[in-house]
Amino acid sequence: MSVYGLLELHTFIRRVVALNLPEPVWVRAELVEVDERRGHYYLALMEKTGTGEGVAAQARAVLWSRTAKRWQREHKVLLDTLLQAGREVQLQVEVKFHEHYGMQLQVLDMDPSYTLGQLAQQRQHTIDALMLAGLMQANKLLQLPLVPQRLAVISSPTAAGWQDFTTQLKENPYGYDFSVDLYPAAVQGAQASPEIRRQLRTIERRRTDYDALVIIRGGGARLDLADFDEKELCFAAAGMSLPIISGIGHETDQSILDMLAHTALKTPTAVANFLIDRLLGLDQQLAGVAQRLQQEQIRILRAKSTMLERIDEQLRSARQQLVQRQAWQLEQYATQLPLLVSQRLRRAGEQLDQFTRLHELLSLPSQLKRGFALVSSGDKILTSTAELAKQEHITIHLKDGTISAVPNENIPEKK
Amino acid sequence: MKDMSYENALKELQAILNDLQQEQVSIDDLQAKSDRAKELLDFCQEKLRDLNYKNIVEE
Repeated sequence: MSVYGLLELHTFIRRVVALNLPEPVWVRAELVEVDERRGHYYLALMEKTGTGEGVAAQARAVLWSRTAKRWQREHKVLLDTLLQAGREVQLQVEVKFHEHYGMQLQVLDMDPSYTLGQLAQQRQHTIDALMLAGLMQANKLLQLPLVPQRLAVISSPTAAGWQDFTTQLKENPYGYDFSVDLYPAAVQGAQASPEIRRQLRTIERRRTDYDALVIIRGGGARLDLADFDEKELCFAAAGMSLPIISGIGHETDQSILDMLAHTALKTPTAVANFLIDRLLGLDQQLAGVAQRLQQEQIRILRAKSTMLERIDEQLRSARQQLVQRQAWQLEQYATQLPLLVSQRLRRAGEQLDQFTRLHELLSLPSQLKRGFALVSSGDKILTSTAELAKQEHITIHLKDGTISAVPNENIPEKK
Repeated sequence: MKDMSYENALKELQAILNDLQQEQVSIDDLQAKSDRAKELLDFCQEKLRDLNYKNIVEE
């Protein structure tokens, strides 16, 4: 049995490795740790077991500064955004074994499309899960107040986007007042999700103090957007009871956070303008309502005054009619009165005439003229044979004089 | 007479005219009644003229 020294063994392993892996190979792994020092990237790689719980394999890798610079020039992708803990990467590596440092993979090339593809898949899973939970539309269904003036803002206080946002709001030309509370959080990188989620919880507790939640940051590359695709962050945001307005700065693509937000805008400045426009819109609407109100008032007043005029006219004409009717009646009476008086006088005259005629008719001379005779004895007028029979002398009056007579005895008595 | 209402004046006038029509006015009263009726008529017409004048002025 032969015994080797450690160096001897390692020298042997180095030779075996160099002989058996003379060419670089492509390898897939998950990044566990990324450590950048003086342009060199020191990576911890691993592969999970089939169940996804344990670690099946791990290794250390390094990307030398020179390779990194060349790679960035060629691919126009920032390494910082690609090389983040938790990302799936496909690397071209040279396997090196060093007697002192052990095994190390030297990165020569990387396939960014693999990482992006993995991210896209994860993204789709997150979207599916949100839809399944009914959370994709939840925030959109919230009512954004007509006048969103009390704002909770999640942003990095050092970001240019935050400055743009506050400046734009403060210097709005209409003098609208906004109350803005900043909830600082990292808005990119591995710390973004936990920090933002912590602030979301805080804001949700103070929910009644705010009209809307604004999440903003400055611009970023395609990969940056993945920070806002992160599953836990998206679920936390979707569960908020405040309407979210996002301005996380991307021109071409939308993050999942944008998709589920109440209102998604491209930049912090756009968010500020949106808020100002909303107030302006309401302002103008109110002015329009005030104008319509005034017009309506004038219209009603005109209608009322026309109605009053008409009533006044009716009143005058009714009064006129009444007066005319009365005048007409009085005229009737005025013509009637003399007629009635003269009629009465005529009737009285006629009556007198009748009396005169009757009187004449009944007078003695007129009776005698008609052939009647009056028989008297002394002062006494005799009207019956019985009276006559008792007289010895009688006087008979005729129309032209009187004669004396003696009544005949043979006058038969009336039985 | 000045304090009399048009309504009362008209009623009295109508009563006199009615009496005249029914020949219930004695000849002794005829002159007095006729004068009274004329007076009432004038009074009523005066009132109407007043109203008419005011109506025109207001317009």
